[in-house]
Amino acid sequence: MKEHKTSPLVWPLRALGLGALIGVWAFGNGPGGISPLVLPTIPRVLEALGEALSQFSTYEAAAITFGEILAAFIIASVFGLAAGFWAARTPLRLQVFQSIFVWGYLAPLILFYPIFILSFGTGVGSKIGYGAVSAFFPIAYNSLRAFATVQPTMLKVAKAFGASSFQTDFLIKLPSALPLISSGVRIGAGASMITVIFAEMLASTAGLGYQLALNSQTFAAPQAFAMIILLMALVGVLQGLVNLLLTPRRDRGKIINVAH
Amino acid sequence: MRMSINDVSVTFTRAGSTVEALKDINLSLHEGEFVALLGPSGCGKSTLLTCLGGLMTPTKGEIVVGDSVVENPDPRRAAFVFQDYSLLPWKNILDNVGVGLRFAGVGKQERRQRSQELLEMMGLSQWGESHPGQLSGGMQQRVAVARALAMDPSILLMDEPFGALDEQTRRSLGESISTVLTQNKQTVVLVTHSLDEAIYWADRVIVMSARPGRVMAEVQIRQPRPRPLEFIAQEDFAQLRSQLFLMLNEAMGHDQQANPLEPQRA
Amino acid sequence: MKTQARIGRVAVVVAGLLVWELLTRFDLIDSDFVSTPIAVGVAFTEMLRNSEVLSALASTGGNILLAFIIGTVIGVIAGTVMGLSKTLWQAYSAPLLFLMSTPKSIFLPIFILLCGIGSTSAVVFGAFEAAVFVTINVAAGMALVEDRHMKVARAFKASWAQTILAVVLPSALPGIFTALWFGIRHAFIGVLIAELWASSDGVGGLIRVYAEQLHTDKTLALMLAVTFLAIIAGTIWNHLETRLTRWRQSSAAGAATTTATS
Ligand SMILES: Nc1ncnc2c1ncn2[C@@H]1O[C@H](COP(=O)(O)OP(=O)(O)OP(=O)(O)O)[C@@H](O)[C@H]1O
Ligand SMILES: [Mg+2]
Repeated sequence: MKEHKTSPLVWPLRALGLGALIGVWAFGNGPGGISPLVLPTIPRVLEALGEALSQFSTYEAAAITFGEILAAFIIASVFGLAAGFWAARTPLRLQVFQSIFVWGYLAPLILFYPIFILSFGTGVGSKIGYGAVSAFFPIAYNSLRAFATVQPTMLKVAKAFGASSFQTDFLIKLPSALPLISSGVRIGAGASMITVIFAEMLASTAGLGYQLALNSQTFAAPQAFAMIILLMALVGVLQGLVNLLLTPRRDRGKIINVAH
Repeated sequence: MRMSINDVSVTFTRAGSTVEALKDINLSLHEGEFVALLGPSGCGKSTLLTCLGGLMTPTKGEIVVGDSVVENPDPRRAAFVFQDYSLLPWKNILDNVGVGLRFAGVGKQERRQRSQELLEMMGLSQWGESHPGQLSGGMQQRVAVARALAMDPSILLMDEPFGALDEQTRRSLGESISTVLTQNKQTVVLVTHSLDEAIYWADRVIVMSARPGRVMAEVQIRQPRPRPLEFIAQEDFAQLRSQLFLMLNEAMGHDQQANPLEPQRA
Repeated sequence: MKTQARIGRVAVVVAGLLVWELLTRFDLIDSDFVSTPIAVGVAFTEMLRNSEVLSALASTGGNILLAFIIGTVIGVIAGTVMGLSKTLWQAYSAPLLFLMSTPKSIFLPIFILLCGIGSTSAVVFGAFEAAVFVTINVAAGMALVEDRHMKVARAFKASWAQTILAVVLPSALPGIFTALWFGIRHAFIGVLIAELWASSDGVGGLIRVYAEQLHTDKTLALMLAVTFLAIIAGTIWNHLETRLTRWRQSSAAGAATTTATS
């Protein structure tokens, strides 16, 4: 997308959007007649948020969720990159594994969580394993595409100037593959967040997702809303970190739109 | 149709900095006149054409066609051949040629027939069902010319329409197109980088200076149109050619000191 | 090469099943937890005759369709509006992109609280998931409309409706296709997530019930059946997309968009 001058209306419009959201919420509570048991009032939610923030256990839960996502993401990245690289080495492997990775991509892995609980229990391990598996496929697929589509002219240059196969891998293939790899890693990061948090909500004993599920099942609506806000903040921090990691220094500050 | 360009200036503003593309252009074209615009790359030729067609409003000044000031595009009045062809890649060639007619509500039967005629004139009659992606650059340019001619406009605005063609094709096309243009008394503004093309086709050649674009000089070509190919071999032609060559050289800003005609440049 | 690749893929799948069977047979992993391929196969054939499963499939299918329609209609309208106005895009694209990459499941409790446990919240949640993705992709598709093609429309005096039909729509078609794919995919995932989390009916609910009763074979048979359907749908969609947007010279690059960006 092209760069455009930022319109002066951008911030007023955003304020308007936020205002509308708050307005609808307040209307629901007041004239709309929605029970506060179902839709807690804004002050009650803020109060619950303050309470949560003053408790050490909240930070502990956040750290657990954060750690699970990070571990799942790192494992998936290492294995995904290695698998993509390995599978792109010969034309036959490429054709075989490209389809298999796409299948893994298309599979609604989010449904498979019960199997992970049965195998790994309801602890931290099952979240990490589950998150890693679902982030693996997008990373592997995109790395495979990346390594497979290195421009032939660049390889010719490498050959002509006598690069060894090791040099070709690290000086030619890797740099030219980086953009696609990084988009795969971005999608993988998203996938590990989605799966880990949902796994925590489904069956676990710790973490912010667990707290959210617990509060909502015990109809503690203000606390549940507070957890949603905290989870959004956590996701924001994680997304920021991923952007920092994956955006080349010279491109920082530009808005990059990826439609995934 | 008669067209006059009165004191036209165009200034682009982008991210705080401004670019003066055109400055104080004054020209007038009589009906049926063929004018060629020559000038260094980036001097504002395309910008001027865009203003003439009503796609852009000049920062200053106005363009008058007939009795009215040009404010909006109207392909029946002035039709474009864009520098980058801009064919619609999802439509086949026949539909691309007829796109303006379609917008004007002309029925399918008539549209197709007219488009086919023009394609024949352009030497592309077998390509009607192909898509632009399958054509070479020069072929796409000819489709863009056909698309403009299909509107039967009073004024034809062509931005380097034959830049990608070989000399031979260009000449043979030139003959058929110039016959049509002369018959229909169309006013033509042609932007080109080719001296030969300008002299062979135009009644008047305008030389523009480097940015900000101004009219630096103009040369009348008195030979009646349509011209025979032999014109190119005549003494007159060679003289005009070297005259224009020197002017263009000045316009490029070479030989600055030696030339008092060179305008002040920013 | 093509047949070799086909044989290769089958070989990989068969090898996977074989490893699974052998690992459980020699008790290296507990078959209670992961079942065995043969047991899953048997459970699958039984499932085809089980009315409970068939009605769950029908109800989930209906929910997905409804969620898809609602979500896509909302998303297409919102995305078109955002794609046509640069100001709106600038104002709301960042929050929407954030929402898109946020796990939507964290909002599930809100839907359950407001719509109750059951089909309604599954449909509404699925529609919400779909709408977010469709909006972004339609808006991004509209950005593919090139200025020079809009210039042609203007120069040749196309009316507003003609511009939309002759220029905007065809240019945005690849984006719209991707958007529809995301609509289907996320309506599907959304409905199943909602059912899995808090509902005892539908396929999601059934999977949870089977898992809780430690019927691993049935759980897996159902999951694999759904997965199989998802893969088939995705593959068909990819072919369709490539075919309908063939005029693009770079259709090879375009063909991968659906899978590369889910
Ligand atoms: N939309 C725009 N915004 C800012 N500057 C522009 C814009 N369009 C053109 N310019 C500038 O105006 C000047 C004239 O551009 P124009 O395209 O008219 O040149 P030209 O004479 O047609 O060149 P060429 O022969 O290379 O086609 C250039 O310096 C260009 O950078
Ligand atoms: Mg130009």
